[in-house]
Amino acid sequence: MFKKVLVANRGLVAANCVRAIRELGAKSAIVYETSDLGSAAVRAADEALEISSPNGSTAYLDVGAVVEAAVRCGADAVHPGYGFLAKSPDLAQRLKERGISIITSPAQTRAKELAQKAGLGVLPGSAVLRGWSEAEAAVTGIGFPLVIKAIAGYGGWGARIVNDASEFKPAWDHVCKQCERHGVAAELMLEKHLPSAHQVEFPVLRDNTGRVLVLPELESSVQRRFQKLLVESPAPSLKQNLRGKLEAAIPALVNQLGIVGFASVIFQVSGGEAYFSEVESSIQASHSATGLLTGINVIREQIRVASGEALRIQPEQIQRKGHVIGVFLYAMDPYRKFAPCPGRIERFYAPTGEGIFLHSALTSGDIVSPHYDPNIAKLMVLDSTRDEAVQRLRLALADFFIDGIQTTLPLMRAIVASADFVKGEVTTSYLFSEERRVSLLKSLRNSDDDTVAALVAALALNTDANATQIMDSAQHGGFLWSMASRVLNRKKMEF
Amino acid sequence: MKYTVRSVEKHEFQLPNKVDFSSEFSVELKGKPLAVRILETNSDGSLRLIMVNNRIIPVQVDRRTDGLPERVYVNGVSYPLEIEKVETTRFKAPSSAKEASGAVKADLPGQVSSLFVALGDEVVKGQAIGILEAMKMENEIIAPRNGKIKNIVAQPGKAVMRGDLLLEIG
Repeated sequence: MFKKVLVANRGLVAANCVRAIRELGAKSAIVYETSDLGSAAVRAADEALEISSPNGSTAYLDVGAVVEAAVRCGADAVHPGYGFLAKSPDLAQRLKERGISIITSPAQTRAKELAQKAGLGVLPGSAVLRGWSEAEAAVTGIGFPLVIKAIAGYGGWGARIVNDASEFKPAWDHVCKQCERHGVAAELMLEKHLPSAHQVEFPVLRDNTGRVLVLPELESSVQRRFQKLLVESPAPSLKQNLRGKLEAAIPALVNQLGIVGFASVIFQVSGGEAYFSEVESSIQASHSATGLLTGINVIREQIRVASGEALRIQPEQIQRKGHVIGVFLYAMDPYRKFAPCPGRIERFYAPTGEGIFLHSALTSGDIVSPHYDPNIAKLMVLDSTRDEAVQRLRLALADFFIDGIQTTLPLMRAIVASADFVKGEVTTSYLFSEERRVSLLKSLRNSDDDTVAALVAALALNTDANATQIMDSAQHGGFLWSMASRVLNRKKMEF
Repeated sequence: MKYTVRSVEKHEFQLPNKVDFSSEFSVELKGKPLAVRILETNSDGSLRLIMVNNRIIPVQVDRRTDGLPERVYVNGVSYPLEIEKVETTRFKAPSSAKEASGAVKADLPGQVSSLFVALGDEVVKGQAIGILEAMKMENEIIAPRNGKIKNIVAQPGKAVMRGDLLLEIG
């Protein structure tokens, strides 16, 4: 086991890494940028090292600063969590030069080729492309619609759907520019896009003796622009015989890739067939759903095998404790086309109770920074059956209230209550259309709450200091204040 | 005071002239009495938790730039609304609203990653004129009205705070 591991990330994933390191009996260190000094992850670590950058927010991506911090604190390994840094070949190389291990694997750009050899059905796609001429040449074998994916991307960042030839060049340029702005290599891949497919992924662990443990699959079809909104297991879209087939084929692929640690093998499921899409080699936010379902702490096992220990868990020991559903909540306003909503959390009323699990590094009074990812919490439920889990989740979401910033909470309530979700029929294209978003949100309204809304508006006016001032300074007499004809500022309000 | 508020439906009701936060009061709505209590307010005095007929409801109020409530969230669900009429014995009518201003300001803190327009360009209301990046996401900057770009303050790549002037449409 490592003696000291430096966590090079922030937020919930960093807190989870710190905890896993400590549970393993190793010392934990973490890098932080000034504004994160009081955060859950930094508080939990044995040692905290400040890193800074001229503009603050880029400190966590500063490879030199992270390597320097690892050397300074005497860490024998670095856990980068997920994100840009975890995918940085530069970080891996520079740590290697210093004799420091990295607890993640490089981007798996040859996975499609090897998946084919392992006997899996594969989505048509390209090799790594550098430049427009390579992209133009590669597109003929794939066809439209397709997805452009940046190698350095994650969680929906750097991925874009191209519906037809006319959209291709602008989309390509767009993703290239995005990469440039974030200081990552403009290395992109193309992949056939299957509209109305389900997404199913298998988390796997592999040790350096070549033992592979395939963990229960997760369905992650509920997403928006490739950003996962909800995961569940067992996957409603996966038939038992297909599950068995995939589980049997995955070890050969992971062995071929030579990954030591964690990976997630991702498929698109359509028409009863599964098509291999990619291998994500960083730890995934969904690790906690796997943990809840199986009792296996995925990050802890990832660190263990990365340190050279053999996997101890036998495949037959893996048991599903029921049905798990995890909702990823983001500081984005679904009423304003998912505009990011950084700000101060005034109050965080979290649901609690049997089978309800909340993972968050935030609490009342915390600031959601505009500089980082908008994820704020994972709400998970575990119950015996899917129907019971859905009902449990529905009530837990209803009792969850975050004041001060807008979040995706109302949208998630509407999705979980929808007939499509209840039937397990939501696909990755579910939220493509604006109409769907609007109708989902409208479905939450009811007449009682409409009355409450009107009452609250009047109360707000009545108790408002400014309104009182207007009233106090006003002349006496009968006034009629009619706003009906006024041009209202409609910019913020969509419906 | 008598209020006429249009949310999804139209509501007319009467509130005490000054609501007492510490005690329950009754409001009659569509012939039905509602027992209302304010349980919690935010540091700025805005409402956070109320009780209506023994049901506890978290609420949030979104205001327009002139301070008037324009949207209420009832347990996170948005209800757009218009206060159509307030009748009181002493109440000053606020000055009438101006046409949408040509000043385009940052909706959120972030970084202007690109601008699609140059000085002197004609734009139409609703047109995407640039991209503001925050939380690694891209948000379109929308022209609030028709006109010509007469001033560009924003510089691509530079950080902006919420409310910062980005450009002006003349």
